[in-house]
Amino acid sequence: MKILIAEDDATSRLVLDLTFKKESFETVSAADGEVACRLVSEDPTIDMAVLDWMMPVVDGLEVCQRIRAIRKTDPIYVIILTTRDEKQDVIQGLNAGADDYMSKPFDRAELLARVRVGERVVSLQRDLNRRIRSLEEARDHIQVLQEIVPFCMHCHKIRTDKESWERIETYIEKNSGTVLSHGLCPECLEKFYPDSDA
Amino acid sequence: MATADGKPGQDSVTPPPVDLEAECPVFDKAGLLERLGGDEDLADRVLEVFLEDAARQIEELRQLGETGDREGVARRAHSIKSAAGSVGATVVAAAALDVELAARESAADIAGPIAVVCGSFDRFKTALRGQAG
Repeated sequence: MKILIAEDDATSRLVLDLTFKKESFETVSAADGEVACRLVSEDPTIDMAVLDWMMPVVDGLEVCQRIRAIRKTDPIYVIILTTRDEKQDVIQGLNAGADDYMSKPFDRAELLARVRVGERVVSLQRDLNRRIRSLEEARDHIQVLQEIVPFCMHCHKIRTDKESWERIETYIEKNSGTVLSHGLCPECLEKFYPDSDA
Repeated sequence: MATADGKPGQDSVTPPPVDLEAECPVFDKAGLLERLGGDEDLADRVLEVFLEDAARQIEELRQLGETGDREGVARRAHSIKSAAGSVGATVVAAAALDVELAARESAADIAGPIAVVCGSFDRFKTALRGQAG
């Protein structure tokens, strides 16, 4: 888990850095918002950002918005950490795209608890993204098969790339991983089992 | 504003001065250690950085105050407040907050509050030396 710390004050930056490293998190630091955005652009392994609000060059809220634009498909969990603690500030921070908001000076246990929440969210998001990618790949694979597969016009067996013929259910199971289950449609029921009461 | 006899004037809207040290300790070492998981070595490293960085920032604050750059004063005071809060220099943080608020009020005096920040930083250093000794 890699955390970006964006904080213009050297002391606060060091305290955050030591706090996270002591908990075995990897960290990268930026002394202003511009550098923070550059780091996010260059380093796809950053999972989370802890941003001061009031920073020179680019402030924390703008950094938050830029991060959202840079990492659209693999979002970074953003915590705004600031001395601005009015209710309106919290609302403004969250509306800017932050996932969480904390006041300074921070309580270590609370900050780490919130970071753990972020870690869980990032993990869930990554897992979801992996599943979506896997499904998209499977869908693409099936679409390719549908486009190129010749089948017998009478028995509906499919000709494989080894020039043999397979039953359609066998072929689909082999090539897509889909497990097929036999059933009986009403038309076939009527045709093949005319005496059935079902 | 106090009158010659030391009583508050009727036309004054300025609140009485707050005795910062009576309200909070000069150095909240317990708070700093709590933030660093009780690690004294880390606390020493942080304090070392703070002493150097805060001295520079407070000098810049003083210079900005002399030039009348209120926006610059507010920004610098905000940064000092943040740093001081991080290391448990509570009196410095409170004094810096006063400067920040004063700098954002166009008519408020900032020289006085800036002097308080300088004094509180000196007291913080004295308190640190006292603890080290």
